[in-house]
Amino acid sequence: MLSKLMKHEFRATARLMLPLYLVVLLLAVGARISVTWLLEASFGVQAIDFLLHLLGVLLMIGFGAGLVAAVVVSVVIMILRYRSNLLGDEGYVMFTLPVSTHHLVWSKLLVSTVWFAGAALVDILAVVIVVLNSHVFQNLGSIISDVIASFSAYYAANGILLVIELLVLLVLSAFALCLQFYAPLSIGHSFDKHKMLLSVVFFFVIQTASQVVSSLLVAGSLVVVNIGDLASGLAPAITLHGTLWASILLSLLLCVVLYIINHLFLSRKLNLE
Amino acid sequence: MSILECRGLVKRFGATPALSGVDLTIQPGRIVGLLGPNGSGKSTLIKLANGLLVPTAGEILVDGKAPGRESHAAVSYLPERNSLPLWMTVQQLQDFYTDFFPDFRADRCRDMLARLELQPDMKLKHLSKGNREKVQLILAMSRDAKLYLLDEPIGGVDPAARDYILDTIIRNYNPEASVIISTHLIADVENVLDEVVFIDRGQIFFQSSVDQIREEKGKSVDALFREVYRC
Repeated sequence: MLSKLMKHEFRATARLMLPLYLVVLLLAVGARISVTWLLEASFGVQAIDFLLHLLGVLLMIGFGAGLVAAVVVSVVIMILRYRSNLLGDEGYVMFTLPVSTHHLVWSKLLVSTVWFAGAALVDILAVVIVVLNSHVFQNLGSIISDVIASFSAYYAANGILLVIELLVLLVLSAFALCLQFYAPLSIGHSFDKHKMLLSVVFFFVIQTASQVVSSLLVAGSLVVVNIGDLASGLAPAITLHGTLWASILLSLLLCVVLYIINHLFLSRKLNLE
Repeated sequence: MSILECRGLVKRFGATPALSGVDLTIQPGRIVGLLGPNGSGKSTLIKLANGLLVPTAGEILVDGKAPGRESHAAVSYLPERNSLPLWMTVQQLQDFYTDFFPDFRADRCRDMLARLELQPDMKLKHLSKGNREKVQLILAMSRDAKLYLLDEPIGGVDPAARDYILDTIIRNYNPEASVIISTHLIADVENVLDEVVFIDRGQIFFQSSVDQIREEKGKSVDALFREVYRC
């Protein structure tokens, strides 16, 4: 049933996300034209040159806004979709499907994460469209392998492991981002009145609590590791992998706690009046 | 085994009681009118049966199970207001029901939609309010469920639409199933009911077969309702 839920979740969100991606890529093409021609255009007529330069600047501003919008809109859609589809009128349909609450939440988590990744890739592609020249394009493969090789050499680290660790951290961070909104929305909507106001209040409560707990954990771990050892210099590779694993564990802990809170409120305190 | 059973069911919204100790048993194969004025607790009872609300106390069982994944497979629910996503087309809604409900009869659904001249590529947001309600009803009645929970299916529609809705319910429900219709428009549904449950201020104070009311009290359900709920 999870795959069917995801199929319909993709169907519901793709109609918004795919046009957004297309707009960002079109803005990148506009910015490319701006960089390669408009900003340097000179026809010898001051008014025309001014207009072309102005258009070039506007296209560059639009491109910048597009890059930000791809990420911001992905997050906004993630939040609105959870609220309207599960906690609004559509919840009457979703919570009467023969599926578990876990599947309902996981379908949202996974699909939102895919769209976040899509937004990141589209942003990267958009930047590449603007800055890439044929020389860089021809040597792209060797540039990437050079970066990984130099990184591995500097930190004496396993490059592949590093990439895997970063990917795991990114996915967990995406889940944590979603759950930081899902949990307060589920708590707020379990009340009879002022559902959105209480959702906002619980968002800040959860944010504050997670900041305090993570600060305490980081401080505690530094004491355990012994700051003196760090200062005297652990191997860079150990420091790098250690930091990544600590971040992964911290994100995992946040995800688990928020997921349990969210599940309890959806399964035991659901209040679709 | 009863298809719906409530034991000491209590639901409060804050300090306000919506249901106060409801005991109710509905047997399979019955068309039941859940009758009461606005705010009497009809919708709350139906939402509790669907797991959309959680009881404050007591128990509610659907086909012997607490509301959840298994009971949802047995229940076809028609909410009191449109809850289908407006961006979806009629065809996408059929795909959605086909994917999640093995008892959904797509051919029956297509026939009913075709009779209303609703094209598969029509988006719900482009349909009139009346047609949206009909699409929702058609989807609910295209399932071969064990229990149909229809919350105010004829509220706020014109008399011709009421006839269409009741006709659709009677023609399409699974005869072995029970149908619970919540409404305060008694005269319109009276002829299709086997049984009535009167609810007021969160309490059930009368449950009887329609035949029994006519034989023993010599009244129609509508007349009895007007007498009982006289202001």
